Amino acid sequence: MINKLWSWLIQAVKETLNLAWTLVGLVIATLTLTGQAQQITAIATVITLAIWLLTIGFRK
Amino acid sequence: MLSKLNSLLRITCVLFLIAPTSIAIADEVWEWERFEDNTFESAISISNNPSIYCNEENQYGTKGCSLALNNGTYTFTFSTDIQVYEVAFLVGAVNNSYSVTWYYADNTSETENKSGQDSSDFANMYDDFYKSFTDYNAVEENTDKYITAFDVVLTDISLLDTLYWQYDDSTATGNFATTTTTSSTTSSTTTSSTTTSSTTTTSTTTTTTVYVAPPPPTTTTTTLYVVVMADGTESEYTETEVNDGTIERDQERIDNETEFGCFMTNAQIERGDCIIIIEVYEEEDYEEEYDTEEELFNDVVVVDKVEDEFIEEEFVELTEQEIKELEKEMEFEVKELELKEQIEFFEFDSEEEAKEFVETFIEIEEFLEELEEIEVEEIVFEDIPKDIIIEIEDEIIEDELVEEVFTDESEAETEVQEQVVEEEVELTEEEIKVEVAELEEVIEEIIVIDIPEVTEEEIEEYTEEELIDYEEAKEEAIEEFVEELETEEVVQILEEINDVGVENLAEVSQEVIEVVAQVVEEAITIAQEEVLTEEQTEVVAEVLGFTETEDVQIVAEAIKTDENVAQAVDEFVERAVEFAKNDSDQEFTLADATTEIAFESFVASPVSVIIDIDLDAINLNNIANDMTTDQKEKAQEVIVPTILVRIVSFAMRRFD
Repeated sequence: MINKLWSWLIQAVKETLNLAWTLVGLVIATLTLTGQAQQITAIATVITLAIWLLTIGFRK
Repeated sequence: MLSKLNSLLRITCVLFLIAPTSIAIADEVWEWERFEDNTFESAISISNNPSIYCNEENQYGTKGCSLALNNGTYTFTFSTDIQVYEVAFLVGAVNNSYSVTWYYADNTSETENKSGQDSSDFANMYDDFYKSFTDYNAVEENTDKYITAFDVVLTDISLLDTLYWQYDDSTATGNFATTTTTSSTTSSTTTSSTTTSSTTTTSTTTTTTVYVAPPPPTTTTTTLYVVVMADGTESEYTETEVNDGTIERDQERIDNETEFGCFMTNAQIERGDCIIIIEVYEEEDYEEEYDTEEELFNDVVVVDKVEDEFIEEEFVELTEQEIKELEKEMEFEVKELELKEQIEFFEFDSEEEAKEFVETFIEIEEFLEELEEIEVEEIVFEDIPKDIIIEIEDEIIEDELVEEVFTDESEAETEVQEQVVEEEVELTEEEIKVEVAELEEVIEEIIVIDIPEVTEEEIEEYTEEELIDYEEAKEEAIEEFVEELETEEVVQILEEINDVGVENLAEVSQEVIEVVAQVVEEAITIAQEEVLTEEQTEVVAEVLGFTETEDVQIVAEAIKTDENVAQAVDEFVERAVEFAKNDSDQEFTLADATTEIAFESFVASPVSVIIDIDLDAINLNNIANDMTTDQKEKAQEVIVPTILVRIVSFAMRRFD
């Protein structure tokens, strides 16, 4: 179980690094926006990243 | 005995008829202004020359014609001869937020701010305004309060109607000091024929007493007349209405309805409120087309019955463009009436040809008017600078319709021309110095900071704590003073800032920058509380670097909920000055300040961007409505490349 979790963590870090440029863009976009648009972009970014990382195994 | 009593009663009746007795004294007087024509009741005067509008009768809660209000402040001032303690009216067809300010005799005032009305239901698209001190003044302990005037401040075309006011007859002076109440009945019969008319007026009397009752009456004075109109109908009029020509106007309405199908006065007809089409045909063609037994001449005026249908149609809210078109149409009709006699000399084959003639006539008149307005100025060059900089000034004439009339088959083609003239003003160093001096002068004139004067030497001797205390005291004093500034003063300072340019404020002293920053913040606060005029909004927008004036209102709303925007407004001037010191050619706007602050907040606390989200406040229907155009453009510049990079990276992976 611990091995599986460790393995997933390694994969998650790799995937996040792959997305680094996209994430930078989205963070800058969030900071450029104001009001509701800013909040929605921030939430959407975080939720999508979480789903992306949780479905590594499924996508492969 | 009964016979004697009967005789006595009859004699009494006759005596009453010979000498009408003052039976009742009316203390409470209700007066109504129905905006039927351009002559208003003598008790009220209205600033800004509003016009009477009759094209949308009985819409927006109005009754009959109403008062058309456009962009600006309209002041309704009551006569000083009366003490008004109750006023009511309605304002309809208001799309933007607006306000009503009441002014009282004790030099106090009260403002009611209203948001734009719901345009989904035109029947209920109006607000009622009612201010009454009837009960308040009835309490003996209270000092009586009276309404002297009220302002209506709007930014879009709207309607005002059903205005009435109430005052005490016993305290009225001048022309309003009416105290007696009598009653009589006047019968007036008007007969008319195609060639002659005669008017006969007979007078009889009654013993009926008319009391002026508190509930909304339909008349303003105490004497009642019953008038039999030409069409046999009977109408009741008060003495004031008899004197101010209401009977004549009503008779005109009846006559015009018969003649043109429009229930309007002669003045309204002349103004062009009734659509009348002058149809001029050759006699033979006309007879063929209409097949009438009556003999009609070439100059016969025929009323277009479409007018009635137009009024009865379901109301559609007019856009600015439509209003302009209507105004143009009205102008056309007025000109058509003016040209009626001249047109008699011409013969036209069709209605279109006659219409085209009038249009061409108007165009030529407008052209000649413009030609007269052009003035030739002599320019004398005293000192030609070495560096000549081209001036930039955006002047876009949009949607200018140019109609080309073709001579061959009377075809008309409309095309839209967009004329863009770009000029930019870049100030020289000397000009900047002059403008800065002007700004400092204006600030010195308006701003008086209530703190002890300290020399630079004394400041140098201050300890850190003393220096902080001094800065705080100064900031507080500036804030307090700026908060009490009138809107006009704030705008005056902002105009000077625009003349200098925010990017050139590095030239001014730190104190002036602090004052300017506070004034900019105050301008947004004012925009939150009251409706700025178009000119004032433009000035505020220019300072903040907005291209759209609507952005001012968006920012005013945004600072209530968005801390970053609020902080950006607070620090905008200081940040703009810092930015200008880096010799950047780019313009620094409020959107830049907002982004900078958002980044600083994110660096300080990255998690707060997620934690501080208020999910309840999110409304998916208007996600970007709380963003300024400038901010949207900035965001677009970031988001679009991000998405493109992502798409490209996916594509690259596939090729691998």
